[in-house]
Amino acid sequence: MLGLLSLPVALSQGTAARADANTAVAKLADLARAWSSVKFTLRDDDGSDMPCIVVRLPNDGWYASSLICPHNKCTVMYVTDLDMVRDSFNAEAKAPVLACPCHFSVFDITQGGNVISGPAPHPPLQLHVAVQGNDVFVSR
Amino acid sequence: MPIVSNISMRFTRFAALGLLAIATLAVKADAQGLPPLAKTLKPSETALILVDFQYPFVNPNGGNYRAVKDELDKKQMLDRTVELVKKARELGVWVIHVTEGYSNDYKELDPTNPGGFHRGQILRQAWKTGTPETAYYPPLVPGPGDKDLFLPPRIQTSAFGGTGLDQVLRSRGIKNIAVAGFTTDVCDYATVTNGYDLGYHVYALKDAMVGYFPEQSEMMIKNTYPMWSKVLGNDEFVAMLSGNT
Repeated sequence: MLGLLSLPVALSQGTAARADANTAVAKLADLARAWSSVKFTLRDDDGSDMPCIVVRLPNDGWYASSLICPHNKCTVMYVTDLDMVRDSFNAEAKAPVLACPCHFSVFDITQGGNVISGPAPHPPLQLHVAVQGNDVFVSR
Repeated sequence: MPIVSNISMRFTRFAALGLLAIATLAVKADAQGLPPLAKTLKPSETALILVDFQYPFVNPNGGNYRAVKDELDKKQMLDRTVELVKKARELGVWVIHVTEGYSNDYKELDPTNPGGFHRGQILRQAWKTGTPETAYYPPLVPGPGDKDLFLPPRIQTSAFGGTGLDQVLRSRGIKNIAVAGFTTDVCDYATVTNGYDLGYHVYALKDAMVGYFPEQSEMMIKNTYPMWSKVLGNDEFVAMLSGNT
C-alpha cells in the first residue's frame, strides 16, 4: 500500500488526464456494481502513459491490469457483451473479458488475465488493487 | 493386337526421347549464366515509395506506435528517412507517398472476411480518412517546390492496391522502385512482392522500414526479401543513384 502511494497515476474519465501522485484511480462508488470498470494510466518504464483498467468482479473481487497486449503491444478492449466476444473474437467466455483487436487474443479477467485464445504468450501486466475508505488505489 | 503392340512401342520410344530432351535441357539450365545486376540506377527511372508514414506508427500516441517504437528508435528510422527523401528529391527520384485510410463507416470492407486485418481496424474504429489518426508525418509532407506524388488512401496491403500506382509509374517510364515505411512484415512486403510481380526492379530499403515483429522482420529481410528485391541500406541506395558504386 505504501508503495502504490508514490506512483504517478492518471485518472481517465473518457479522456485520460495525468494526476498527481497519491491519487486514487477511482472512487468506490464508481465501481459499485459487478463488472463496472474505470480506465486510467500509469507511467510506464519508458516514461510513456500506460493505459490500464480496474474492474469490480462479483463477490467483491477485483481485477486490474495494463491494457497493453503482451503479444504485440496493441491496446486491448474490455468487452462485456459475450455475443461480441464470440462473434468478433471467436472465443467462448462466460464473463466479460479483455480482448485484443489486433490479433484477437482474449484474456479471462476472472482468472488473472489468463489467455483464453489467440497468440498472446501470457496475461497483460497484472496490477494490485487496494481500497482505502472510498478510494480505489492500484499499484504495480 | 500387333497394331496395338506397334503403337505401344512407338509411344514408349516417344516418351523415352521426351525424357532425354528434358534431361538435356536440365543439364543446360544448370550451366546457364546470368547477366550482371545493375550497379547504378537512373533517378529518372526510379521512384521511392513511402508506405504509411502516418500517425498510428509515427506518433507516440498512435495505436501502432508501441509495436514499432523499439525498432524506430534503434534505427533512428524517421530521421534517416527524412534525410533519404531529401537526397532522393535532390537527385530527381520521384517520391511517392502511399497511405492507408477507410471511410467513416467502413462499408468498403468485408467484416466477414476471416482474415483479421480489416476486422481489427473496424473493431478499433481505426484509420478513418480525414481524422487526426491518419495524419501524415509532418517532416515528410512535400513542400511547395517538391514534385512528390501523394496518392489517395488505400484499403489494401500493397501500395499498388487500388491506387493506380502501376499505371502512374508506367506512364512516367519508371523501371525501379525503392520501398520504405511500415511495416517490413506486412505492407512493405506486400508492396515488394506486388512490385516484383508487375515487373519492376525492386529495392527494399532496410534502414527505412520497421516491422510489427522485429525478429520476424529481420528474418524476412534476410531470407525472403532477396527473392523479390535487392535489399539495400539508405547509403547504398543513394550511392547507386549517384553512380558511386
